[in-house]
Amino acid sequence: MIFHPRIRHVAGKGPVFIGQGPILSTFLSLSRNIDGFQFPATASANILESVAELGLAAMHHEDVHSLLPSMFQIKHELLTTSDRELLVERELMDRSHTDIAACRVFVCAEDGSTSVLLNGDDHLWLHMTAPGSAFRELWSRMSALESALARHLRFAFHPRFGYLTSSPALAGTGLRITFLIHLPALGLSGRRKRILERLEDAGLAAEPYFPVDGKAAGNLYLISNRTTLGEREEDLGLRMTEIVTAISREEERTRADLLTRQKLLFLNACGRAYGLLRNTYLIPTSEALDALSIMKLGADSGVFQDFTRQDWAELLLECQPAHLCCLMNMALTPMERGKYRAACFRERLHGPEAADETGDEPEL
Amino acid sequence: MMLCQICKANPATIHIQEIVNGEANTLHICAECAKKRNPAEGNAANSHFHEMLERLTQAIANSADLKLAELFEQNKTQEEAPPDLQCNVCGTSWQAYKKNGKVGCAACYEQFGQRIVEDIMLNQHGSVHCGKMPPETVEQWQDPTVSERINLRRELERLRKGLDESVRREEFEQAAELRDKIASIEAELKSAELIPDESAPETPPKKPRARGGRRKSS
Repeated sequence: MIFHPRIRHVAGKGPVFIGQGPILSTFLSLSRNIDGFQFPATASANILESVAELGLAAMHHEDVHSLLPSMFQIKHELLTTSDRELLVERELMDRSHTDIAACRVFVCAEDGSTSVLLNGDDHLWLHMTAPGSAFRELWSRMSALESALARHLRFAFHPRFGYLTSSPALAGTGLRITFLIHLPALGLSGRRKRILERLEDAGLAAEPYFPVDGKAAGNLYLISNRTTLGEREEDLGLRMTEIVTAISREEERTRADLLTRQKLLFLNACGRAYGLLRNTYLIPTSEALDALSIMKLGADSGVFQDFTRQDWAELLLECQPAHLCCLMNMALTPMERGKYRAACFRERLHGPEAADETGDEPEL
Repeated sequence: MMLCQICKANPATIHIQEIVNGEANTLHICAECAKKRNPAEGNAANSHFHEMLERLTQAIANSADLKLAELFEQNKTQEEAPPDLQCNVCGTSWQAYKKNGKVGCAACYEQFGQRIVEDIMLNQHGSVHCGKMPPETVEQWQDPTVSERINLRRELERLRKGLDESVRREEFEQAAELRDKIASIEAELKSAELIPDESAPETPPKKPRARGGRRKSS
């Protein structure tokens, strides 16, 4: 068994966190520590166990439980490497939390929108996702969950530095707000780099969602806050929403401009991406992501009539390694992944049937 | 500096990428040639969007200056870190913290004193937490001895931002008023902090080791 049945089930929910338009998703994560206990990195097994116990007990109280619909819990060490990879792809686990460590417990709401990690970098790491730009909605949910937990747990708090976290850079609100944004047109116009660099002045940072040789495969970027002190959570979130919305509008303006001024080139790029994905028999992730990015650009601009944004969101998840393994329910080599990924695309885009595989398989 | 590929005279400030026959061509040109080529490209750099980003980032830039000044003041009074400094609750050493950027427990924030304050303040929006608070802290705030100074610090933060704003708007009368208010609060805070810890009534925290000694900060 390479996937835990619970995790398989969550993965089957479809791309619940990917929305429409350039702003694809909003992620919120909140770090908290229980007062009087050492932080996980230095704590003894005894302390870690107590923390896990306290955290789980708090989550089983009725008021907390009701905020985590049909939640389930799994010890981190019982998750396979593929499980953890799948959770990262689904935005339910941070990549820094994929290492096995003592007394880590993964808690997840069954709808795949909320997860909690006990004994990660901090005692509790609460994480929520929603499609589109959804700070307000997410923060009200997150704040309710945190308040409910705070009724049963006493969090480490300092009147000046706010909530204390293992990394002092996070002290204060302990809140990380992240937007996933798709910026192909700004990339084509050559202005993307400059705009994203300017974010630093606003205390924000942009990084590639799929970094490939320092570049963002699929033109997907994560924009998140670097400041946690001196600003209310709502103010930060609304300020970020305003900035991200401004970037998104600029992206849309650039798209419209491309479509009117360079229609032929635009159609050519869309058609080539479509042709590639529809007829490929072997395709690596980064190439697939780049072609998918152009497909989304075309779909959003109405170039493709029968390729919906939902199709796109599903393909974006399906073409990633752990999701492919989950789909086939077996461990796959990179070569096999390339083959099955291509099959996914051909099927979705009504391309040719599978090739006759009696010939020699190329060696990897 | 790269020169414009069309006029070969002005510096290239606009970079246009086009895909021709599947090959990406990048064109580096100046704003003037871009305008001649297509009016929309030349204007793009000065669009409304940039003004907006400017406005949004302005506030941060100002508060960053303020923070720098604060840091500078703190540095003056700060003593060198002893080589063997370590948290006596969890045993994390200052060196270990500096190496991996993580403290071992809540008490480290107190144990490392002024030195860690600098790291916490680095690139932050302000110097005092003003977000959500735990319920027991809110209760504690009902106790005037605890809440007063915290409230004063927050008021100070608010006034300093207001001062910045009114200086920028050149409303000097209001700025002078704010400046006096700030000075009086600063004096009040200073006198309050001269009171030795033991004479200030401490609210009994349930787990004192993680919370004790907070008066050292600020």
